[in-house]
Amino acid sequence: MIIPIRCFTCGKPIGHLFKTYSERTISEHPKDVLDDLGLERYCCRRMFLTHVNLIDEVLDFSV
Amino acid sequence: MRIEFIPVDKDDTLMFIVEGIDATFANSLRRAIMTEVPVYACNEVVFYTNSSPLYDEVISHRIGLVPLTTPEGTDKDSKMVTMSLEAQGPTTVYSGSLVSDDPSVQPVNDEFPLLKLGPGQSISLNAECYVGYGKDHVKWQPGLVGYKNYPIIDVDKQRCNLCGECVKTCPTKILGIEEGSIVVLEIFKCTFCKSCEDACKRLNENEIITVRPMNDKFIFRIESFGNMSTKDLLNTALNVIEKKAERLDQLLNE
Repeated sequence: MIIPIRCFTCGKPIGHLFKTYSERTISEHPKDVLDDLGLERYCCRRMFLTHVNLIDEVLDFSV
Repeated sequence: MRIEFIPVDKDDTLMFIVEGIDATFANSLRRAIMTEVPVYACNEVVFYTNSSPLYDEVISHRIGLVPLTTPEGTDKDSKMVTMSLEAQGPTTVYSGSLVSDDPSVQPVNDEFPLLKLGPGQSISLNAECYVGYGKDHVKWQPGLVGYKNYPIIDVDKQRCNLCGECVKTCPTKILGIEEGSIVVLEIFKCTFCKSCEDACKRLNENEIITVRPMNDKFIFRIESFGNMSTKDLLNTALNVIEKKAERLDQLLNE
């Protein structure tokens, strides 16, 4: 839906890195971007690799 | 007890070696930092309007998880801080839009996306931030701590034939050959995987290189989530342990 604020497993805040990640992965390999962002553990790395940004699809609706 | 700091190139990380403690003390220090350090986090949200596609509960949960800077000397009795948020769509609302009534308590980063608003949608809320502990909820967890035993890597120099198989196998690349013997370059990176032992055994049919943990020496790694510096985290946690020990002493004397 929308990028989680923290890593589900270790609790490290990661939400603020998503903008940079999504902009840079257009032209770069995700591995290099994740390394640059300082995400060492695979729990934090999968937060980005497995995220599907569906928020724009539901934006037409409201609660 | 001896403490030696290991230089790290990251601001939010602190690494050090402690000698002369046992595993129980090492673990109590780890747990004190992760669960007993008082920090601010949003605990209650009052919604006035929310016409975004996300439910009130989802938004309040996300605001709660945003780490907040916590001034020195904060304890359980520190006052509540209120943050207000107002936005009109179409826009992405970031943590930077949260207006705090106390400048010393702020989101650690202004770039956390809280929610997204479509055209004509709006949000208006007040978030109440309280001091809490990591043992109650991750949002109050100020950092992450890990420790491991200090490794002892022994090489039998008489029997070693310098085949270099252990150097090649080591996944963290901490071994090397210098002046005709196997040397350990960065010992604190050893993960006790014992790949070097296996490789040596496979080629030479006996264990020339051995890796074992030291039981009274530990390598600590403290990672701060930004609420306070790693040094403050360590200081606060040590004060907490001291107070708890004093309290136990008092109870035993009664």
